Amino acid sequence: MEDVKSFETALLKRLSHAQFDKEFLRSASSSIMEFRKMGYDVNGAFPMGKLAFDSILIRGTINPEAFTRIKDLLKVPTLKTFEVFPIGIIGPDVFQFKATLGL
Amino acid sequence: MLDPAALSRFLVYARREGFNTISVSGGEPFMYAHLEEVLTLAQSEGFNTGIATNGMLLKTDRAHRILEHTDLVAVSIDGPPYLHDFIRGQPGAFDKMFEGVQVLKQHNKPFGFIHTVTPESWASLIWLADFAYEQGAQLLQLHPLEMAGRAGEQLQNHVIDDTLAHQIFILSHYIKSKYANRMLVQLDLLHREYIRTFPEVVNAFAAGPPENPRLSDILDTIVVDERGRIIPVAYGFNENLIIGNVHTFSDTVFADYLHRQMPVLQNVFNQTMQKIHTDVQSDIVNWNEILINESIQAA
Repeated sequence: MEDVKSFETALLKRLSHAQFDKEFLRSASSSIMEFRKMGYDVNGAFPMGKLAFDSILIRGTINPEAFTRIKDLLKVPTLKTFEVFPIGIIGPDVFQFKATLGL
Repeated sequence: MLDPAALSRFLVYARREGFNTISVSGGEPFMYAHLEEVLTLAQSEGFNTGIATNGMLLKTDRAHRILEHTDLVAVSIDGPPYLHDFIRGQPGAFDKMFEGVQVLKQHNKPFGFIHTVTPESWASLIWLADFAYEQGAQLLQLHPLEMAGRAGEQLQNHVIDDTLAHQIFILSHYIKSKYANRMLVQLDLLHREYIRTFPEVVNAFAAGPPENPRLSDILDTIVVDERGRIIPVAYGFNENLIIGNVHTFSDTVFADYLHRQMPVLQNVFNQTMQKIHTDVQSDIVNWNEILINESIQAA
């Protein structure tokens, strides 16, 4: 629960600060949309890069049937990395993914 | 004044023509003297019935009877208590709304919350979702403030600009995931790329003009206003494109309207698509708002 609250506080802080960086917001929204169109359930988008945002980490969940469309990821030109791993006992049919997109 | 007999005749007609959901909003629907008989008839005709209310008039016997004929109650909420009271200009408004929600829970009445997102309220969306879920809501609808009618003149400082639209979009997707399969979170904003990929979601003409359509195949929503006018899509749509009036309609009003106006409607929808495609600065869009603006430019 504490993790959720900390995450939400950080998310709001980042979004509030991001009002000065529209490119970050556009990239994050666009990435969420690209992944949702392909059937991925996105539940987080985080800017990366210490001095200036240069990439975004997207994380979320994916059902195994979406694996058949995994080649569609090639349509996301900014995709730098993509990792999938099983959630485990809690959700045996659900996999978590992390993707990094360059700006 | 909306004549209940005329409205009832129109509801029977609209149901036969394929419309299947009625949502009564206001003002405050519970102030409408004939709400009970209209909803009773609507439910008997097979409509899904809903009310959008401020939740402050739910304690009376009359309200209880009305709720029996209502499938879903959407309670409007403007944010946490201080913000809700401030926007309503009424100390204690949140508490009264909250008491109304308890009445809905006592009656096991399915309910949701509807929130008009403003620059003041967007940062409270996580709080709002947590509150809605804790209260047992089945739906949280997030609707951007639209600059139509009086809002356009009086609320210019509350415009949802592009930056804010992105912030709302990202936050609402987090909330959707957080409450997936537990509470439906609906955001009335769409990403341009989503519309480009799935145009049929918003545009009945996306695959060309449909053959022998009924009006309910083209329009998801028609509005009957307090004067009985039958308006396509939403309030603010071009007055030259009004369908008719419930006080004077004939049994061919929808077919006559399509025969007369379908090319104009198709043009309005397609112009809206074109505008969304070409305005690359606006990624997150309110489809209805753009559609209304395009309708005003047409005809």
